[in-house]
Amino acid sequence: MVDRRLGVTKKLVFLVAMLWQVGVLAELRIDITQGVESAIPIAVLPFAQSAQGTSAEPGIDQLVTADLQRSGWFALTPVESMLNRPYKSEDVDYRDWRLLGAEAVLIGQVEMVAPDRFDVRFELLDAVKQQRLAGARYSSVAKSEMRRLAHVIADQVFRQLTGIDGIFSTRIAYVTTTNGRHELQVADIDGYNPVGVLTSPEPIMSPSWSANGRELAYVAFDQGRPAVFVQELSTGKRRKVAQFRGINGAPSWSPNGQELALTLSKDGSPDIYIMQLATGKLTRLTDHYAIDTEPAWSPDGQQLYFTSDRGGKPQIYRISRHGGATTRVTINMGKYNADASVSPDGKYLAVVNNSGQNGYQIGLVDLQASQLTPLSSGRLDESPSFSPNGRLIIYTRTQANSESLAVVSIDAKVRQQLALQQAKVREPAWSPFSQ
Amino acid sequence: MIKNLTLISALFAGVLLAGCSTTTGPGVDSDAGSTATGSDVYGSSSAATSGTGMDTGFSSLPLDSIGGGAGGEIGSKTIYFDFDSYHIQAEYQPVVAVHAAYLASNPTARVNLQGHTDERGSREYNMALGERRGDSVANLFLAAGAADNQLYTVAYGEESPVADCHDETCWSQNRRVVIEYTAQ
Repeated sequence: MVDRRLGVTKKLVFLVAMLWQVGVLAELRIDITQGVESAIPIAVLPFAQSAQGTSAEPGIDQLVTADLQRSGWFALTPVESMLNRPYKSEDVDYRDWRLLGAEAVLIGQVEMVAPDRFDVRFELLDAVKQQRLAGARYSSVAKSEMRRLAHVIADQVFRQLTGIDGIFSTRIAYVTTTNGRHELQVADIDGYNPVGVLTSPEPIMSPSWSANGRELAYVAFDQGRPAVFVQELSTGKRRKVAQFRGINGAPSWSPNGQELALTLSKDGSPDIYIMQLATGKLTRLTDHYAIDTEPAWSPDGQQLYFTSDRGGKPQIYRISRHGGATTRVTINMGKYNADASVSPDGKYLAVVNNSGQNGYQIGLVDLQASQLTPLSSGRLDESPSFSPNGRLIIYTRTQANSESLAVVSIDAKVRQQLALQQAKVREPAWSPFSQ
Repeated sequence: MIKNLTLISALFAGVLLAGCSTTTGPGVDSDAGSTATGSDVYGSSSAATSGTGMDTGFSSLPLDSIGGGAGGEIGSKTIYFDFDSYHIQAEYQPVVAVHAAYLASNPTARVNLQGHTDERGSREYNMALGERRGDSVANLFLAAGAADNQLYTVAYGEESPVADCHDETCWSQNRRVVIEYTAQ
C-alpha cells in the first residue's frame, strides 16, 4: 500500500467543476480534466465536531477531500456509502472499509477549546495492513488557519500514500488583466485566498519567488519604462532594484536567496547579469550581440540556463555562474525553445517549444538523455513553472477568447485547468514549499 | 508537527496584520503602480489604489502638429514588421525619412520608439525583440542625421497589443514600432 506507485497508460477523465465562493478578488476556478487511472481508493471520513460550535465551512475533511480529488491520484469513497463514522483508530472496523474498496482511511476530530480556538487531530490508516500510517494533533488552531491546516494534512496524506511531497499548501503568483488593468496576485494553489500584490495600468511581467517564499521579484513599468522590483509579500514593502536604460527584465532569484539574475540591455544588447541584492553590485555573465534573456538557475546555484538567438533562432544555453563558455542545451529539439524552468532536482527543463508548424507548446527536456517530450497541445502555450515537488508544471494557455492557467504532470497523465472568470490570467510562478 | 503549524500560523497572522494597513510602507521608491497587502484574504475591500503609471513625465504632442511639409505622411507613426524580424522593409522607408528629417532639423524634438511584437513565443524574448525593432528605427534616424539624445527606445514586447485575436490578421498589426513624440 505505502509502496504503491502509479504506472498507468490510459486516461481516466473525470470532470470535477468546483465553484468556489466569490471574494473581492475573483478566485481561480479549477477543473480536473484528466487524472490517473489506477487512482488510490481512500475514504475520508467526516471529522467529528465538538458540540460547542463548528470550526469552519467547509470542514477540514471536505477541504482534504477536495485537495486529494483535484490531484488526480485518488478515488474518494462517497460519504453517503459510509455506514459508520468512527473518529478514533480503536473504533475502526477495517472490514467495513475494505468492503467499500478503500485501501486507506482518514479519520479525525475537531474540538473547540476556546472561542475561535480548536484542537485538531487526524489519523491516516492502512485498511489492508490494519495499521496507522500517520497522525498528528494540533493545538489551539484559529478558525482562520483551518484552510491552511487542511492543506498541511492533505500534504501528509499525499506523501504517505504516494511517496511524493504534496504541494497542496503551496501558492502561485500570476498576472491578471481586466480592461487594461494589470494586477499581480498571489493565491493558494487551489485558487483560494487571492491577494493583490500590485496593480498598474501598465504591463506587469515575470514574477519570480525568493527561495524562502517571502518575496517576489517582478518587472513593472515605472514612468513609462520597465524596471525590476523586489517586494516583501507580508508588508507590501518594495524596492526598485534595476531601471537602467533599455530592458530591465526576466528576474530570477538564486537558490541561496542572495542574488538576482536578470536581463539588462544597458550595454547595448540584452545580456544576462547577476546582481548581489544586498549591495546592488552587478556582474555581467554574457556578452554577445545576440539576444540573451530568461536566465534560470540550476538548483545548486552553480549554473544558469538562458534563452539566446545567437544561433539564429531562440534556443536554450547553459553557462557557469562564474561566466565563461556557453553550451547549447536544446539541440535537435525543434526550431524554437525559450523560457526554461528548471526542475527542483535539476534533471529537467520545462520550455516553450515550437517543433514546426503547430505553434508553441510546453516541452519537457530530459537533460541527461538530451530529449524533448511535448506536454501540451495548445497553439500559444507559454510561461512554464515547475511545482516544488518537481511532478507538475503550471503554464499559460491561450485559447479563442481566454488566457488561463493549466497544470500538467511531467508524465502527462494528470491535467488541470485554472480559469479566472472575466479576466485574463497569465505568467504563473509556483512558490517554493512553505517554510 | 505542532511546531510547524505555529510557524504557519505566525506567517498567516503576518498576512492578516499587513492587511489592516493600506499604506505601501517604507522603502517604496515609486508609485508607478500601487502595492496592495493582504486584506483581500477575508473579503474586505482591496487595498490597491489606482496607479499613476500612465504619467510618463513628458507631454505628448500629436504628430499632425509637426510642420515641415510632411502633410502626406501625417498619421504614419507606425512601422510594421515581419514575424521574428527587426528588418525595416522598403515600403516604410518614406515614413522613416519624414521623421528622420524632422528630428534632424528640430534638435529639441524627442521621440520614444515603442517596440512591439505579436503574442507568439515567450514574453521576455519578445521584450528583447521589441527593443531590437525600436533600435532598428533609431539606427536609421541616426544615419539620417538625428542625434542620439533625441531617441529613446522603450520595449513593450507582446504586452500592449492593439489587436486582440489569435491569428495573422491581428499579429501583423501588433508587430510594430510606434514613434511617439515627447517633445517637439
